[in-house]
Amino acid sequence: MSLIEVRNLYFRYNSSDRAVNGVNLDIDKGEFVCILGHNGSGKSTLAKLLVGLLEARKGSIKIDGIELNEDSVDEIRKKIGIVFQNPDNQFVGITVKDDIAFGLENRKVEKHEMEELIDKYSTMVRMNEFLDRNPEDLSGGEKQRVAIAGILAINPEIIIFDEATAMLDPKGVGEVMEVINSLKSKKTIISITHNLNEAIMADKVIVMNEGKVVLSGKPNEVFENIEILKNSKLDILDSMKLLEKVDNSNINLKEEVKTALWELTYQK
Amino acid sequence: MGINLSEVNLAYLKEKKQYKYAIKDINLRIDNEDEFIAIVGHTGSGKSTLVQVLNNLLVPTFGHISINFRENNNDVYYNIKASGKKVKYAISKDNINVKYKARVSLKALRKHIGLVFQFPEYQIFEETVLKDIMFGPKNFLRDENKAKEEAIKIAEMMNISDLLDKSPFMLSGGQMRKVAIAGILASKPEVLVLDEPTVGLDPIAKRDLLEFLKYLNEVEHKTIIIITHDMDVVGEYAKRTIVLNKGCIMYDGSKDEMFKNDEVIKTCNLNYPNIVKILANLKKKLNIDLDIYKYNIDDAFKELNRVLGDNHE
Repeated sequence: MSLIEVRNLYFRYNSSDRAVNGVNLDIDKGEFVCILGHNGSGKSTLAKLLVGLLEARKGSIKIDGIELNEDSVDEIRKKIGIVFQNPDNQFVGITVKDDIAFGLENRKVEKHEMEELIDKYSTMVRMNEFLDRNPEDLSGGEKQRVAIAGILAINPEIIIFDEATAMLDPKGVGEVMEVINSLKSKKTIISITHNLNEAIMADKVIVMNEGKVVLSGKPNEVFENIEILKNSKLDILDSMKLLEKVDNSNINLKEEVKTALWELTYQK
Repeated sequence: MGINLSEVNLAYLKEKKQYKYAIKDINLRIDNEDEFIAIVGHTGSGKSTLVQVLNNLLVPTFGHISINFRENNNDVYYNIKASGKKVKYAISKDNINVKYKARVSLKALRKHIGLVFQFPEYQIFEETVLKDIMFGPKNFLRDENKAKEEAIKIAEMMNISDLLDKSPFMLSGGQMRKVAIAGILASKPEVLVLDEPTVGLDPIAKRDLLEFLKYLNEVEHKTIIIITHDMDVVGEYAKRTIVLNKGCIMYDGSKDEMFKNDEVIKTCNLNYPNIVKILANLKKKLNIDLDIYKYNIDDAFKELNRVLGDNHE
């Protein structure tokens, strides 16, 4: 049994073309999964369905064997946390400490235990020196790390990153990616991203288009389907584009160049 | 013609007579035609401050900015002088000094230099796309019908005519950003400044927007200034790059020379474009003499073909 089982899932917003049109999905415990898709392909909607922020019209979501519905949503949210794209839209506390504590307070954690957890997870994201600061004064990368600490404190099995680095500068992206990488194999991670270099490192890549899963598999299996990727309005890795051109040419050292580009893509 | 900054400084009062310079001793000449400039540098290096000084949203603490445009067949000069906390505005028209009220002069100045902030879609507020695009020209032209005409023209040019009657809030991120940019363009600025225009867009929407900026630059001869962290964008689109470091201009010149300048790249922690990295890797692995400073796939392949092509046994 997979940790996450999505069967025949449908959803449509009232006033928009965006939708999820019959998604089936299996994600195993400990997997690092990247979901790719152009803006409007349904990937963020799927994420919101998974954490019960939206209610599906049809189909089912099972997380750790529990079917997601009105009665189980609170229990499921202990198992699955989400970090959103905009670092400014997810703060409730006046200080970093308050903010990390928010989820714990809601779960009625004892005070001394709470202190321990805040210390542990703020250290894990290297924000322990910032506990008394106002989140407003932090950089984007720092804000996202605080958000991650707040989620980690609840100790969910699954964390979804919904384009969590899209609004950050390169320094912030580096800081957040470092934290995400440190969580690999400890947590089940679903990263919704446009970053192909991140997707290359995943255990599984899922490509969405028009609300459907159009490709799913290991990175090298998925990235071979250049036509489907193009039809899904996705970018192709530069090294793959060059590889395609080299493949159709008669240059010298052709096989050597191809091998080098292939190795470069998959960093073998 | 263009924008001239000489010895421009902007300082913030931190605490008790302690000043911190956001930008320091900036000397810069920007033409009001045909330039495509990328401003790069760390977060906090002064990029956003610099572009806000350009259209006078921020007033320099020291220094002098002169801006020269053609307006109704007249040369119009805007001189923005700063000395300490006192700021003097003077506009000279046909070399005759005329003093306007500051507010009037700024409005005219901002018509020439359009500034698109980061995440401009957050500033959309009208009920329909048409009304939102019209908002700028309505203020500048003071004529509802003319403003509407301009808005429709711009929408056609940007391929968003089918969106005009829709509510901006029903659109995708990429479409919303286009609408926000259309709103600035509708006032017909000669210089368009965009702060991180591609952040948060998917690859297709990003390319679409950049190709449009290229069109504005090459066909309409507008000067485009973008702030960006994305070296792929710098490589493929910029004609000139300005590197800021701790508020100072560390480099101003061609992108090739910038990428070859190890000191600049290291100090400012700049990355290389993806294609440059790939070519550098091939050069090393295969021990071939490649020029690695190519910025799109076609040029990269041509370079491979030049070195490894059939006539090169």
